Amino acid sequence: MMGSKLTLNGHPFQIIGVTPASFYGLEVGQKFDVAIPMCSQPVFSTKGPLTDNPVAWWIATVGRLKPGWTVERASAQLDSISPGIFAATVPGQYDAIDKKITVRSI
Amino acid sequence: MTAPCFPDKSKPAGGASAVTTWQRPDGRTAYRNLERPALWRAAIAKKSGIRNSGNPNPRARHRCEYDHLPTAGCSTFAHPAGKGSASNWPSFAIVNSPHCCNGNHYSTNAALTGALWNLLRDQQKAFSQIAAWAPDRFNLGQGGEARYADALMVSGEFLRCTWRTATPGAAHIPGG
Repeated sequence: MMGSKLTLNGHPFQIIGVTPASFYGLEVGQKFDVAIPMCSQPVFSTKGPLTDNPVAWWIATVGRLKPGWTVERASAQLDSISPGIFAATVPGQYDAIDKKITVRSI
Repeated sequence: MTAPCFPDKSKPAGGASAVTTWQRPDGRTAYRNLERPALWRAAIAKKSGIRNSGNPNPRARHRCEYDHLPTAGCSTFAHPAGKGSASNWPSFAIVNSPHCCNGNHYSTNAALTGALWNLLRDQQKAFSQIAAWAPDRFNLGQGGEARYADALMVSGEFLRCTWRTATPGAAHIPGG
């Protein structure tokens, strides 16, 4: 399988590795057959890349805290950078209220 | 009875436009490219048991099951609970905005736009590893009948963050 190719919506991709069959990703009840780089999204887009769309809320995120950091401390740090991030990226018609990013443990 | 084709472009009862839905293999309905009217959002929120949340996907109510995943130590990001939301459930404050509902709400857990993700990744200081993903579905066929694969679009740190290394199973494709 390694090195072989498959096509996704007509676009060729080379397989460079496989994950354990027991790994279903991070969404309960879901699975995935292939994982592809997020930066390849524009090649599948027919209406412009989602990567550049300021109102396309399509990305879920996950992270590992650095040693010594807590969820509360991480949220506080994100609180501090959220205003600038939202001001730079979110269109003006959206409310300013609650424009901040918080952290939840999983 | 034949399952609906993918995608089945339809409109929810009560109006709205530009809504794409399709029937998942497990029988549930998935939604894409949403421009959701308030009534429809309310109906979905009621159906999913999430009060005042704009998240259209019923799977959101299963978020507590993350505790069972082998990803202890990971954290997810979400906008804070909006006014009136149940405190234990994430909600998307911008979606709750009266001026909102023109966004494309893709992933079950989608919380960020591409630009937000880029700046968050670059400016955060709390995480040694930070990764992003978004589910999608692609046709494996090269003509003829379509055969769809469930896909994850992932950032370069995704597998490292989830502590997974390459062994037999699902395919992983280069880049990131």
